[in-house]
Amino acid sequence: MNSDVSPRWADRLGTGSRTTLIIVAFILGVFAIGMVGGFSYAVIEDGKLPTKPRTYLIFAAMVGLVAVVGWVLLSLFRSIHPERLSRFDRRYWKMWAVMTGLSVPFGLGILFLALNEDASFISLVLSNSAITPLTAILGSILLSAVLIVSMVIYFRAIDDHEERAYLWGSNIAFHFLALAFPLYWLLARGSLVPTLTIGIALLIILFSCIVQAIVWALFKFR
Amino acid sequence: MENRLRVLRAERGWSQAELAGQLDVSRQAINAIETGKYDPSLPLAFKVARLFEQSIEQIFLDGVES
Repeated sequence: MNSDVSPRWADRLGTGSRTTLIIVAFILGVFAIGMVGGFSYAVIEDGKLPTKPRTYLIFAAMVGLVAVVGWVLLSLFRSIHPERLSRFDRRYWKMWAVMTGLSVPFGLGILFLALNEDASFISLVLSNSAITPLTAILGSILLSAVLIVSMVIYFRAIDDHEERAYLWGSNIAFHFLALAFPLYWLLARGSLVPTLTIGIALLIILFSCIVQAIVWALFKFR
Repeated sequence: MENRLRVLRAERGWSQAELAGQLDVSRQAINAIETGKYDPSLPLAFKVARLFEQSIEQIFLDGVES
């Protein structure tokens, strides 16, 4: 089953070295994640980008450290349990790692757009306030690119069974939308609910995403 | 749709994870096929048939008397 797993540097380490490395990597990882989180929080709180280039260098170094620690821990895990991951599993978990990696520049992109608007991260994402055309265009490109790339990566990694789970989820979510909007429109005309706004529409779309996720999980794990 | 996948797998002493590895699918997919909750696509059914060196009809039973 594992003949295609080539020897790695981690395979040559003894139990003591592996344990030491896991402890050191874990401590460094927690430290680096704390630094990245602290930097991001400070920028959000300040509402403006730092001016010193040294700050960016430290930030980039910490992001790099998180990536290195992740790679070291993954290599150690694979050397301890080489039989645990099939070719499919490796491809599948690599896909989730790439997707998680994509979400970091996506989040940072939104953060920088918020700073460009001189607004806080939360108010840019959750409010309906006016934004400049540049932010609107950049935000649209960012959202479209991440969504399209994610879909391509996802569908190349999953199997027939999960594809069916995803498609059933999408199907039910679409019918949820097709029912929810006319229902809301009727109720609004009867003054039973507030008039439909873009905020309420986005909330209904969010619910449809939750419906899709629930149906996907039911079909994948039942 | 009923199938003989669990029997064929047991005859060879394979776990669900091992069979999944050979078919390049997830373990959940094998479990769902064995319990009859999911019918595989035609390409996957052919893959299963090739692996066990049997025809599709010998593995997947549609319950219709011929």
